[in-house]
Amino acid sequence: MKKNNITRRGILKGGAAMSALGAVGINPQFIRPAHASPYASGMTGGPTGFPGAERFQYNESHSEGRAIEAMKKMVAEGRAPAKITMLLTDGAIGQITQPFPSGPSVKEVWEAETGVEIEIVGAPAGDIWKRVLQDVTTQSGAFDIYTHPWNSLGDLVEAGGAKNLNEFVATHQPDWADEERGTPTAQTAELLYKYGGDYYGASLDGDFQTWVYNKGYFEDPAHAQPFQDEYGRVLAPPNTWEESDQISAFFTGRTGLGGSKIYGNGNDMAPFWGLPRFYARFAAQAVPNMYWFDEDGRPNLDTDQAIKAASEYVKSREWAHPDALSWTYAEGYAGIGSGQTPHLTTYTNVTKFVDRMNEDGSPASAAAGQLGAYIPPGVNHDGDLVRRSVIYYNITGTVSSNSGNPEAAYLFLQWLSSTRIYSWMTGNPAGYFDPFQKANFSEQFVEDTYHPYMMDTIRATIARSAPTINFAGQTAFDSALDEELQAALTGQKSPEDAMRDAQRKWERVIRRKGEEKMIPAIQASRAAWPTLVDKA
Amino acid sequence: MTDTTLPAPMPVEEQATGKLAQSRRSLAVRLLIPAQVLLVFIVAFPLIMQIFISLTWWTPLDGDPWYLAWMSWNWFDNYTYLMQDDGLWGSVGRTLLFVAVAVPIEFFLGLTLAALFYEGVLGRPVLYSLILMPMMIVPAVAGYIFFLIFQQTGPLNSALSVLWPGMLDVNWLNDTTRAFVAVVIADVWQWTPLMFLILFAGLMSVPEDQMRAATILGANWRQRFFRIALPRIKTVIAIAIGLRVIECFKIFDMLFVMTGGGPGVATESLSLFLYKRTFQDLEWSYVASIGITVLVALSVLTAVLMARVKKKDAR
Repeated sequence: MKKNNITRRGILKGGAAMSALGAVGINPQFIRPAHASPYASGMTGGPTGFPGAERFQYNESHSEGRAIEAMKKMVAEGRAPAKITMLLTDGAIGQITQPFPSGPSVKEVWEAETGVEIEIVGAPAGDIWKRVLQDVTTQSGAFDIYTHPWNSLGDLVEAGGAKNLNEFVATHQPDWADEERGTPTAQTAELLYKYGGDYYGASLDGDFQTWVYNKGYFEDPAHAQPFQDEYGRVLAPPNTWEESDQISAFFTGRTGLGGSKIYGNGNDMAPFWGLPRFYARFAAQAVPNMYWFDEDGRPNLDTDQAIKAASEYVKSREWAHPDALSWTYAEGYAGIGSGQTPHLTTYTNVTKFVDRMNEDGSPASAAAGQLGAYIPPGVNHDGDLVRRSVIYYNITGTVSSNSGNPEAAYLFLQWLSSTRIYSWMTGNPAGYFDPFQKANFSEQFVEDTYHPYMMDTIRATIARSAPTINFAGQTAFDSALDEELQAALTGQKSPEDAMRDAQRKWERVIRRKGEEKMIPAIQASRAAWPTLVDKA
Repeated sequence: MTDTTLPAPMPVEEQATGKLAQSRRSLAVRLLIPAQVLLVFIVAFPLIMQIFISLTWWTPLDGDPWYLAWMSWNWFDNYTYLMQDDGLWGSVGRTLLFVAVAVPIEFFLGLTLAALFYEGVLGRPVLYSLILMPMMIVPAVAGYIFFLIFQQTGPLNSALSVLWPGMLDVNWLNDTTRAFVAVVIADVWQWTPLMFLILFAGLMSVPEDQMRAATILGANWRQRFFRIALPRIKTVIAIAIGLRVIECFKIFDMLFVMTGGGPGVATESLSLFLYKRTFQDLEWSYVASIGITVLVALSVLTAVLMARVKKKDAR
């Protein structure tokens, strides 16, 4: 019997491998000369050469079309650069450069329509922010477009590294917040694209941490019955963190797929990657939210609620794989894929890489075909169920303030992040860009890649997602908290001491950055939190 | 009435010589200006800049150039914080512990190997090359090798599970104590060869006639080694230990790759701490204050030691 071992390498390469089939047969016929009218009626640009391509085509009245026309005008006037250079996380490059499903690639379409070359420079996801900072502090101007975690947007703006896009947005009118096709809510658009009330970024991701579980395990009587006997309720997706922890505790030590030992808590807990797991638990500790800071900008880390969240988070290590403290998302994906874990919260593309078939028709992982998803668990506050997830990382594109041609860079970014091209790109399994726009969720390619069971869950998760920190000082805030949580996880400190020390460090960051600057940023961030509270 | 004596007029020849000397001095000063300017930029400017920045909150993320750091002047806040920063002192403590554990092990293993080689072992040329090999590996690569070895499903646990069934689950890099042990093992593996090389070279320099004379007079191996060879290479031992203490105190790359300072901060050395504060948190003003403090501390230490040496020399 063939073993379906999923490995970190496999996951990282998986997307590329998936699209290899699509690459077969690509040739210049897909980039047809204008006189051949390859587009659907009324359309002037976009991909061609595969069934359904018309869904991603556009004309001047569309966001993509406006960007292309403006770029063409710049080319005609001799104002356009020959090349736009983009710094991008390695894992996402495939979605721009690999053809999908059988036509040209995103990059090829842009280059064919405008004649402006796109050069992509890759960097690992964990290192990309350092590369951006290097470019900003040395003012080298090596990149026209940076991509980086959304969390770093505030720091980048404060460092003067990001170009203010207000003027370009006003001129070229992207459809980011389009009521029918754009972000789920106007508030989400404010959160993802603006900083301090001004446009600076273009979201290229949907990293709303989503829960995925092994439905096969939950429905297996060998697990379901003993669970019911022990906890007196049906083994089903949890509503609260308490129930979630019970599930983790129950599964730990049981035998799973292929006779493997199950570890109930599948969440990665490594520095940086584990932080959103704590944040999600923390955010649900009060109605409607347990904010990271109070209204006066004072950190809430030394509150009873924060200490409770930290204590529960530390306890959850009991049910995690012994190597969880060095696990990043890749090992988390491998864990759910191999059946080593029954559930986890992670990036939405987990199902894209794990729950799929290989080119030869074999399942990509042992758990392929058995997965499901559920909305985030929360905390029951006397009948008010506060379910919270968080947005964390979320690849975001910004135009470098040192770019030689910021408008050209912006136009490419607008084209790439508008709802038609972005839906096409997100459907491509060759990378990490995840769906978050309304148009993405109604797109068949996206649904095929992410699976129907993820569509509603992601939407519901977005509605319940709190923003992690993305204002100035974020790097220092997150690394201070991360360090303290790691100390607590390894038993070097109690959760109480860790939280109190983190509180002191956060207060120092605020003092360092200047309260007059920080408090408005904190208050603005609080305004972007969800207020949706479910009934228990 | 005052008896005023006017100075005797300078002879013409001397006046000429004086002018010449003055002109030469002036030329010398002018010729030295470029070097002085260079010195100012190499030593004085960075030092003054560091002191200036250390008295502010400035970071490159402020978006202002460093010379505008005065806008976020904080006097001695960084220095006050430094004194009570658990992270900093914890990393200093861990680094000292690491030095105190790793260097003696490396010394004793290196000395043992050097003694064996000195007495002559079978296949010495081949063994010699093999022993020196770890030292030639880039520390980051060595770190990665040991990162793989110490994985829970890595070769070490596989080997241990053959010897002691049930030990397969030893979690090396995620346990604070075991991670520290793993890092020490990796460092010992890589740097014992250097210790061996220096000590062996020292032993080879011990005069052969003295060793032969001792043998003729009936001294056994142990007496020859401890009474003749070892005292003769005291300086070499001091150099070897000194070198390793300095290098060990600066350990960075191997830790960065193997554990990243974790779990938690269990293996975070001083270098790693400074790296994180500098490049992760971008707290450049705070790091500047640490740099200045270390400089002052070392200067004071050096001055005290120099004074003691001078006093000793005077005696």
